[in-house]
Amino acid sequence: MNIFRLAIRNIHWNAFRSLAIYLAVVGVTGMLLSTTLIIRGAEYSLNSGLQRMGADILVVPAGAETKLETALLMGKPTNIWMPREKVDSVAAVAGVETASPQVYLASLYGAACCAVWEMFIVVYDPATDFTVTPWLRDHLGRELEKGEVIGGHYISVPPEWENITLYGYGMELVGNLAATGTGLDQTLFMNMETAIEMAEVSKSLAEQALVIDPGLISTIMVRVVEGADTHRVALDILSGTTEMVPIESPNLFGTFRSQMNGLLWGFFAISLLIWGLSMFLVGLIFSMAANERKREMAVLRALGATRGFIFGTLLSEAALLALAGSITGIIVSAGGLYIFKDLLAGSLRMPFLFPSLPAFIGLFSAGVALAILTVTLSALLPAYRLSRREMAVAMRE
Amino acid sequence: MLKLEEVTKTFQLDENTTITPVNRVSLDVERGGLVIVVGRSGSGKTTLLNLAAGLVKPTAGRVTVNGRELAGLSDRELSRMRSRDIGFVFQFPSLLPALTILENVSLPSIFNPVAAMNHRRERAAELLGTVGLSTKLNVHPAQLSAGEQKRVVIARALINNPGLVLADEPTSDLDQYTETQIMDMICSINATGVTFLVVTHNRKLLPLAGAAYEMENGILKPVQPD
Repeated sequence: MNIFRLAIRNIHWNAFRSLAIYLAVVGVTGMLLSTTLIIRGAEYSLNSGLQRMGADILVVPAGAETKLETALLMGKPTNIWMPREKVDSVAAVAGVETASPQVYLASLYGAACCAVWEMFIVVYDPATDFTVTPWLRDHLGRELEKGEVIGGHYISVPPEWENITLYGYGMELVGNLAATGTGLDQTLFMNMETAIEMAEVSKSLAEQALVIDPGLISTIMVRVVEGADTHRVALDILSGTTEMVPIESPNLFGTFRSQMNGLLWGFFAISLLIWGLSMFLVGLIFSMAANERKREMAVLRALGATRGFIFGTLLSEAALLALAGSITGIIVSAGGLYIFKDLLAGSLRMPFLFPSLPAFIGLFSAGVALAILTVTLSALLPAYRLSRREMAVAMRE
Repeated sequence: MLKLEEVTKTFQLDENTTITPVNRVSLDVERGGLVIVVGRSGSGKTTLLNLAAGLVKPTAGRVTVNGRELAGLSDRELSRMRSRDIGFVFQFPSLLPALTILENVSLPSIFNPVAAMNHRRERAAELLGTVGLSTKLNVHPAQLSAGEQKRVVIARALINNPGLVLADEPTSDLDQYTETQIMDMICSINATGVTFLVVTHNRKLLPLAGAAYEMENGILKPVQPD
């Protein structure tokens, strides 16, 4: 028998009281971790998406910023255009290392000639691209050939199809990019040569021909020279034009970020409030328990227990319940989020990527530590009072 | 072994009311003795035991156990002294309901740093055998009768081999047969050299005492054991 075994026995013996505290900790820890995971998961997803694009600045037609964000976030096809010659003017700006155009296309909706309907398609320029090309170099060791495509994480060849067929043109899926949790996971990437051939084939095989105007592009991905001031470069791109808008990548998804942050931090604040209230209730439960057990503790004191032992026993009970409750709460909430992450992202219309293992371990540890700290703090005052109680008086009560 | 010199304990109930359950009591309990203090409920017997164990501090006077004055000891030293030198038999049910009786009996040994950790359970089982409960080591207190619980409490009081056992109404709420059993047990343990100070309302126990006292309104006076 030692202080922990005694605490464990008391926890078992007072099963109802212990269960109430345990469930309170499970609930609040789970809720707090869920909101934290969603916030972190959304941030992680956005950052992964930005990293995937690899651009320091995105140049889009004026007024098309929101459309672009929606396309990139949710994989919803968009129709934005600007003259191709803008690439040269952007590339000429001081501090720009590379300016790479992209053309955004979409497959048809409800058409038999398309294996996947309304698929977001990004057509890149292999000569200047830095979004897909580094991945191709690392994973395939070569460029894409005509008729080959790579897909976002969730792109696959539909079961009843032999290849990715769009506009009646079959393409071979030669790889998938890593998950980002954004719309890029549902996006198909191809080079301009493939896109032009698809447009050509569509004239005879598609329900509606695909038209690609060689003089138009959708966006320009910009990489600045190392050490250059990105903000300065963006201002220089902006100066002298009203037709296009440069978006620095940290500002991309700005509207979404602020909406999401407002919502989720609100949830987080509510969770914290519930946490505070729960811990207050846990403190009350401990006070009631301490009151019930004052004679028991007085007996222990008479048998030779020090005040520290009494104090330690009660705090150990609190810490053990917090440990068990927080681990359960975290496993349940993290497991639930992991299983239902796609449903969650879809229903909340937000990107979500489960945080990396080290980040999750950090959150797990922080959650457990926070639970133990706060529950133990809730028990601190009742435990202190009980340990200081006059023994002879407590025995008579 | 235990000495009380002119000990008084006064409790302040409110601004205008004080009570003195122990009033200028002097008592000398010799090593190996069996001292019985009789008295009615409220006469101050339990307060006397609490003073002897250092559970309450005297308002006046000196309490000495094994030559050490309790007033000079810190709370930690008092705890250590209680765990090593004093066994307690409480009047009220005092077994921890969450623990088996074997664990209840071995419990005080965890407060005694000199108790051999690996022999605690063996010692507890041995004591429970001595009080006739060797077949019920792993039952919980609620499964025992009042008499059996009292025997467990006596076994618990002896786990750290104390020189002094303070027993508060050890035979209360017991039938005649069990009362005799318990007192026989106390006498046989006393015969091994353990000092007993027993307080009780039961005058029938007086013949068992080496020295006997009566407590009335906080005042202790000797009476004839017979």
